[in-house]
Amino acid sequence: MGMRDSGTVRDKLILMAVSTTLAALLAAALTMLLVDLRAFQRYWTDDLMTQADIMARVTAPALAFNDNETARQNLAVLRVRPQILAAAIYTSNGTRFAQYATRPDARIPAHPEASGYRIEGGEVAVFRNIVDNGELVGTVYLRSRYGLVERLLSYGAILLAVMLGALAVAYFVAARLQAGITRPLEAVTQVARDVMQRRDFTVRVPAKESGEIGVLIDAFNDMLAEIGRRSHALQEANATLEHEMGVRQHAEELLRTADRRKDEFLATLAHELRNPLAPIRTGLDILRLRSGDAAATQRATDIMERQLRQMVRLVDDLLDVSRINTGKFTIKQGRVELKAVVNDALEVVRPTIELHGHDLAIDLPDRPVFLNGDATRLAQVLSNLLNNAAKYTNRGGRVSLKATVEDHTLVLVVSDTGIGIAPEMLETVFGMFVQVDSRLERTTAGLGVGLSLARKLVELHGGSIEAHSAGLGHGSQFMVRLPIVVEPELPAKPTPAAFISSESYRILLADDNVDFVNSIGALLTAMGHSVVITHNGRDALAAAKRFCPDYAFLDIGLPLMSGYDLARGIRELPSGSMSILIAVTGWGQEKDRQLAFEAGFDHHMVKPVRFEQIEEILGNRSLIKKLRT
Amino acid sequence: MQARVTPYPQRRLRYRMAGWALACATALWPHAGMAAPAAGQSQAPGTPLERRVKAAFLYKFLGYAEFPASSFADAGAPLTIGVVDADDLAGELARIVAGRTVSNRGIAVRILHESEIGAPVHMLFVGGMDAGRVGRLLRQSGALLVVTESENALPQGSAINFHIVDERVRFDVALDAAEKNGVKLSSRLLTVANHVQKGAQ
Repeated sequence: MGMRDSGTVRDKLILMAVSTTLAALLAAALTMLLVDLRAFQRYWTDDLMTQADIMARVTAPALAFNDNETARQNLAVLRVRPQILAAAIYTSNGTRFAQYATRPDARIPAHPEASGYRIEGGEVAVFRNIVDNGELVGTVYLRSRYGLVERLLSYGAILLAVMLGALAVAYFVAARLQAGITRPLEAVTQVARDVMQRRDFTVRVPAKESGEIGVLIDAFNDMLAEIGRRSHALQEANATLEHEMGVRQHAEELLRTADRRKDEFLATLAHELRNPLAPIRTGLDILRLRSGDAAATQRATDIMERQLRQMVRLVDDLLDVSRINTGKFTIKQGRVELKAVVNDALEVVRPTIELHGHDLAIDLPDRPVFLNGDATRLAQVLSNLLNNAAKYTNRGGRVSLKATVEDHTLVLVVSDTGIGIAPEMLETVFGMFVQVDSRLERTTAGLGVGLSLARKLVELHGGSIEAHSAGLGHGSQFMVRLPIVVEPELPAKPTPAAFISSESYRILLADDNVDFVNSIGALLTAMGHSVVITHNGRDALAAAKRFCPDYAFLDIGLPLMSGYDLARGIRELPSGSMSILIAVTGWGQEKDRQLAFEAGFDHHMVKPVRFEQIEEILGNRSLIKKLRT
Repeated sequence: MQARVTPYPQRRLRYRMAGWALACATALWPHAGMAAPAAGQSQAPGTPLERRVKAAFLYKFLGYAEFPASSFADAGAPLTIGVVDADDLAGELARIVAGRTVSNRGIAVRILHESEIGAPVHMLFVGGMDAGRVGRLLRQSGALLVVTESENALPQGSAINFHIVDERVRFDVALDAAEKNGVKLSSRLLTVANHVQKGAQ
């Protein structure tokens, strides 16, 4: 049965079946052999005894009648039974009467023994009494070969053959039946191997077995599903982590960029703030040394004024940026005429354009165009764009402003013949603190907030702004689109003739900065206005009560009475509601503005105050009054 | 293997008869000269060996002969043996059969005179070698089985006739003579007969 034990369940099952069969067969064969040998011996001895009895009966007459010749002849009949080796007849007194032998040298006992059989050395010998007519007449002796060994061998051979056959049958039956157990097990094993090799948890054992193997397969499949779920969950968690990591890295990158820009901005800011200081200092030196030279004094004053304006503009822009960043930036809503906005803007940038020697071209629609918004802020947008155009154009270039109306939209285009913008920078230029070329060392380099501020302001007005350029060195165009208010302007409220007929106003100035307030007062007086100057709140209130000013420029940080209290006090006067109150303060935050408006101020100015601003407020009296009412 | 002695119901009986068998066997061997002294003493010293052998044979013949049931008066009736002209043999025979049975029947030995020859005995022994006398006795016999010891007795109606061959007592058998009287002789007896005269069938 060439069995090998390679460890597989199949071989073990077959081995089990075959060995069980072998044990059973061995037990059966041994039992059968023992029983058979016992039966064989009985049969053999019985047969020999029977022969002896027959021979006794046959030879009894010969003995009785003393005829040993006949007895010998009777014995000779045994020749037909070759396994009987020797035979003899004894008389009743123990003498040998006749004998028979297949071989002449056969050993024959001389005297009889008691009736019975004896087995010795592969032979069986039998003595039987001869009884005739109830009388013992003698003894017969037979000796035969005993075929036990031959029997044992032949019977053993048959048993062995049967056993081998049975084992072969058992082997084939077991080999067939074990498939019921090993096939599902092999399926499970195969799937387990696949899972280990391919890490694929979606495979399942496709079997519908019953009993323990069925339970095993179901449990295996469930475990695979569970592992698959957990593996999937783990992968998802990993993916989420990777994604979050990416987001964080991106955010970190943005933070780094912002940080770098802020550093650049700080460097630029320091530079920009410091730049105007040198000319101002020079101007001061000129004034001190050459105070008598009117022309030199005028030049120095112009220079200092220009530089101061530049600085103020810078700080204003910074404040605006701060408001934008903190989300507190608001614009006033009102009807604004385009020409006024353009004039305001030109007033700011004209000195710069002239300084660079550019040619400025203005092209506006003939009919008035009204916008809804904050005139100051819109002017700021235009001035920023024009200022940029002047800055980034080499000396002697051309700067143009063209306004057209396209279907309820005002399109303003500021173009120049300057250095232009690289295509990839067209959108980036609107970013905060972004400069087209950080290498620029012009005095006009700027902080990189102008365009950003302009875009923000335009968007707050419901418009849009975009940059165009044919490339570096081919100039650039900035196009602003703003919605137009179509309805005709409401008829202006009639204003008192006294305010319109005269160009001169009564003006109250209150500030503890004596130099500042005296110089402004001198200027206003020179322009033909009636001016009263006070240096504390109480005097100012008393002056207002007596003087009934058209305009009151009040410092917030006044001694004895704060600017807010002073404003409330003036508003309580009988003529107080007619006065236009302007807060002059060092704090430009929105909350300061708010406090000022709540206290009754009409306008809010941040120090240092340019004289033009005062002129502007005096010129816009009618507009302000209208808004107040 | 140890030989076993098979228990036998008649074993005790057989040993009891051993003494006689020994004596009988001794009688069968006239020239053997090995008769045990003890056995010799039990014999009647005056009787010749030949007569003793023939007496023993007569008794043994009964074991091989089957007589018709009608020859017995009842179930307990004995077998009867008549002896004519052989008184010494008759004495010996009487001594042999004493206490013995054949087929559960006792045996009675009668010495017959010539005048009593017609008596209905089962077996009749006619002694003497005179053929004429034997023939005459045979013709008058009323026995079922006749045994003789003279020459040519068989044709005269004897069933068994003794004669001496090589100094041994042998006998011839005439089956027809026995069968004529309804006596059946065992074939085993015939195997040891010197000569067998078959029946006339």
